[in-house]
Amino acid sequence: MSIRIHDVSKNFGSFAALDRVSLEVPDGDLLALLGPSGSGKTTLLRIIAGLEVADTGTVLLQGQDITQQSARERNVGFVFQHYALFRHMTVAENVGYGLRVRGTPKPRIAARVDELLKLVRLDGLQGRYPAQLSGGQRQRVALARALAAEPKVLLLDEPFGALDAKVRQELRQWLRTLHKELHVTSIFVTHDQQEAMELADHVVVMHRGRIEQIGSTDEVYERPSTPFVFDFLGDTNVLAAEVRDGHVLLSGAEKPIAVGHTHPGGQVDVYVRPADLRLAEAGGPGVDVRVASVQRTGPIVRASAETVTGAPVTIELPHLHHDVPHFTAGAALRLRLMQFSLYPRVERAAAPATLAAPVLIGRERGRSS
Amino acid sequence: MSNDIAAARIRRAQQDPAWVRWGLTAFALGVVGLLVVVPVVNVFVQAFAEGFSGYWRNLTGDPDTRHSILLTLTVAPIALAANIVFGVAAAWAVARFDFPGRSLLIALIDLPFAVSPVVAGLMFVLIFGLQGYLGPFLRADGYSAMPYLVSLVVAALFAVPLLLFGPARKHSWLIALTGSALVFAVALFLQQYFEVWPRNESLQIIFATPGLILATAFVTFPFVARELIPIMEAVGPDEELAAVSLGASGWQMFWHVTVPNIKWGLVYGIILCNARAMGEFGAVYVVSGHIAGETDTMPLRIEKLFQEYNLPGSFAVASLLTLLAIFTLIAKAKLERKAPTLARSRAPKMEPPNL
Repeated sequence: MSIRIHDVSKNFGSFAALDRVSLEVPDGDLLALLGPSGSGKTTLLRIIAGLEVADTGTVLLQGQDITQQSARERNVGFVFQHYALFRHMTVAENVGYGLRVRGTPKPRIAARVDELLKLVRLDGLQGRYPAQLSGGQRQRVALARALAAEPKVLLLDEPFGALDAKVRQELRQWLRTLHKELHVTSIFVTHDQQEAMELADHVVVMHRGRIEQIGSTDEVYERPSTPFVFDFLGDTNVLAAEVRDGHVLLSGAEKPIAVGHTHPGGQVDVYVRPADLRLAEAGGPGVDVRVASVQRTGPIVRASAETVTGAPVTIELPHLHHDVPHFTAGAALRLRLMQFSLYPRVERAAAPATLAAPVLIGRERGRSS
Repeated sequence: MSNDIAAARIRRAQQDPAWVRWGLTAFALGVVGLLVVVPVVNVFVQAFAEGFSGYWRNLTGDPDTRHSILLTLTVAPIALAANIVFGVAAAWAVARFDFPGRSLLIALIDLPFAVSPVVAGLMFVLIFGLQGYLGPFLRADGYSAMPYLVSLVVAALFAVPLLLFGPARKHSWLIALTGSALVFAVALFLQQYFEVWPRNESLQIIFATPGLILATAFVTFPFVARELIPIMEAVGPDEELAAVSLGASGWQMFWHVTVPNIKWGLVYGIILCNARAMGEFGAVYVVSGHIAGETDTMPLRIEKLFQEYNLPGSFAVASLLTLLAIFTLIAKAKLERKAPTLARSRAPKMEPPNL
């Protein structure tokens, strides 16, 4: 284990930014801390870096307790959200700073700077000042600077937050390949679930200072352990249902959408992604809806509909899918749930979402998927 | 034809009438000329009324005038140095930390701006003067306090950098405390042993150079801090944190990152502070006692020469302070352009991202 965080709590006044968080990060991993703003993800990152002090708990780096160490002693590479490049220093001076303060001889600094700038593909810009660089270039200078002193771990705070969409996309791919090359344990903070999915090996979903779920990108997407995780990782439809004798019955439907499950029974919520809804076969189980409107957004056709009980449902189909012609405004259709999650019914806002444990995940592979 | 009329109408609708524009401009120029340019030029005209050799004689011939220039050149730098240290420390505290009494500190920094300089001078007289709180003690054996004060300063000079910039250890404050106590004891012992300070002698603060320094420092107290606080708040702590996370010690962080970032603001504050320190009259007037050749600074000397109807002499000294003012003005204009703005350093440049 490269990083081991044990029982870390942090309060800002009466606000609990982190509430007894424990986490283990394997060597060479690329881990995403994912969550909405105020979920404590940046605080956790800063505690690992030593820029913030935890109220309680310990941080271990490669088996060594670093809780009492200052940021200076930890040798952790940190990339700030707005890069925090030294504005009065050139690119080369910025990148070489970590070596300069360690008293490395100048020729060796210059060699290392050139090597790093080649790595981040900024060779030739040694003499520029940060103000003369584009956002993406600054980002890579910040990364090279953090890597210069060969840190034990690399921490990135919203690494692509300040970039425009296209540059962000390209930098993600590039960071992924760079991480494969360097293999340095890395943690990055993001509020963008797509970014987390695309980049990370493992994702930690955080909410209100607690960890909701830890897992590989597949695990958190396919088996979200709480309604919050399900909701945060993508668009969500919520349908009321009831479990009776192992039969999952949507409210208002006569045929169960799933049978033979071991759920104890009672009121539940069915969570289903818009892209996991298809037309049901004639007479098959499903949810009856009336289509309100259909809109095409690029390669995706998105339909808004309403169930017989009045719950809104969104459906997403690839634009060439054979179901698409059936979706016209006013059409009454029955939809099949190809994949969904069940959570015990929780009164919204009354109880924290973390109380809901995963109970059952229905899964069915359709022909058309 | 009708187009011309329409254009004229639009012009009339969009602009003030010509007489308003010209009238306001002329008024502003006239006031500035009458109240600023003419008097300033007059200072030099009067100073050089007896030609250049007369000017030079007026400046250097009179030993009291010479001494007043020297005294100002002593008092101002010391007050300035004290205010630089205080200003940077206060700006750092206000911009980087959140502590109880923070807004009170910000308000108190501005106090010397709000208090009349004469009142400021009187405050020092009330504390250090013969009839003041500390008067009897200072007169009887004033120097006996000096070993303790000096030792305290030496101990602080030892402890503060150690705590701020030394390696962070678990009990670093304990080390600093015992260390500074040791330094204090040694410094005290050395001073007593070698009898550095005279015994049973009156320590003059009011009507002497220390009083001048205190009064000047008090009046010019806000300049550096006021200048630095907004700059440090705008720059933010990120670059400093980045330096620390890259392995810089506090000392390295301060000199490599903080100082370059606040450099121009600091120079700007120093220049303003210096101009005010050299030109200060009110507070210094109260504490100086007008002992010619001893406690007269340049502004006080100007006033005295003027009262003695020595106009060329008075204006010769005044021309020096005016030159200082003009230099300050030019430096101020230049530095305002140079001071780092956040917009320039953060906004991404319009340049294709070179991926």
